[in-house]
Amino acid sequence: MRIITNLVEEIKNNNLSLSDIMRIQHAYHESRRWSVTELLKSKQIGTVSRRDKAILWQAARAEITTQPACIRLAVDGLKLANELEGKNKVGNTVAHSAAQWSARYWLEEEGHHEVAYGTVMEMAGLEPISEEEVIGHRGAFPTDNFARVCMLQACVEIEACVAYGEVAKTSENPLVKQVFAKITADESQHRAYFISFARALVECGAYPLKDILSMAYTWIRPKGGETHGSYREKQTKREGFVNWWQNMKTDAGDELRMDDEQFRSDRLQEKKVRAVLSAVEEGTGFALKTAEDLQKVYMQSLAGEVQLGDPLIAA
Amino acid sequence: MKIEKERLRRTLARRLGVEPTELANENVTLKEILEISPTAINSIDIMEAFIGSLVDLGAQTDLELPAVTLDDKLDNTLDTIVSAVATT
Repeated sequence: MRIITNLVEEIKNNNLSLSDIMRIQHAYHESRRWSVTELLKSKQIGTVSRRDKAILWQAARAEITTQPACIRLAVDGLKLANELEGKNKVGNTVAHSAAQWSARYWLEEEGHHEVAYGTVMEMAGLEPISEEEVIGHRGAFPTDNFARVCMLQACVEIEACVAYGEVAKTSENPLVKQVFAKITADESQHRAYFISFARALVECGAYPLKDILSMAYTWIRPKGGETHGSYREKQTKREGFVNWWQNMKTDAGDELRMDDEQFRSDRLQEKKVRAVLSAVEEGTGFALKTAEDLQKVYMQSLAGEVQLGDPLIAA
Repeated sequence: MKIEKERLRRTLARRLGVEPTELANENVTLKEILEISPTAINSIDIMEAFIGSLVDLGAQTDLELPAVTLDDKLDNTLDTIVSAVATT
């Protein structure tokens, strides 16, 4: 059971077909499945802290937004595969691999998360999410360059892993702890899939190296990066799709506010930056230490001074 | 280092596939530029056009790039970037 992290090499050197890839994706998916219904059956939740309630409120809403993202990636992956057909055989297989994984496995697994968090949130005594709000969180996910979208999703999964992982580690409620731990593990493997697709799309020549770097840079650039979410001084007003990391409750008087220690403490921000840089290394081979190093390599990629597989320039 | 604002504007126009005159209105926002550019899809392309223009004009890779949003005006953004480059 595994995630294929070097898709291009496997396709080129080991003649892995799309069906082979699907079977490997399927076997891994089956091996990792867990039942929300079984996990929550007959369980009493007990006392839930204010902080745990706040993140349950937030996570239950964040997970609703995954459905349009999964659908978009499935559709756009298939579209890309069709565009590459006859022009880039390996790229065609890679795009189909990403589309089938998004449509069949990612979408299904995120459904578990939406149901799990929504149910536990209600067990903790919070109001159910109204249908109007659910629909409001199903706004269409925008189309973009597919390599960038894969890298974007890797970054979003990192945000989720760090926030959920913190609850799994610090919550004093056994059920909350267990549910967050299960979902963190799922998000972590999603992250690995997205990086493998982004890397493969660049390796096969479907997209340039800069597209992995630009999205990672957009995420962790000092001050204005997406990882700073609703804490940024400046933020573009958006319509349609809800970026959950930009819509957190943080007002001091709000009972359901997220505390810095839950999501944006210096320690957690550093953890996220390290994780994004690690994703860049997995996707490009460049081992970078800081967001400034990333900016430098990104600018060099725009000048055509670095290529995938280059020994790292002095950072 | 010094970069001339109008040169940056022209380089940006080329990267975005628009006529420099389309970027001449001092009230034009980055969101409006996104709408007229035949190549840019979203804010990442706008960011990349700015950074790419700086690369084309020989800016240092360690300069502190300002945070901007699509609601910002191009003219103000160009001023901010020119100032940032001037400190390197």
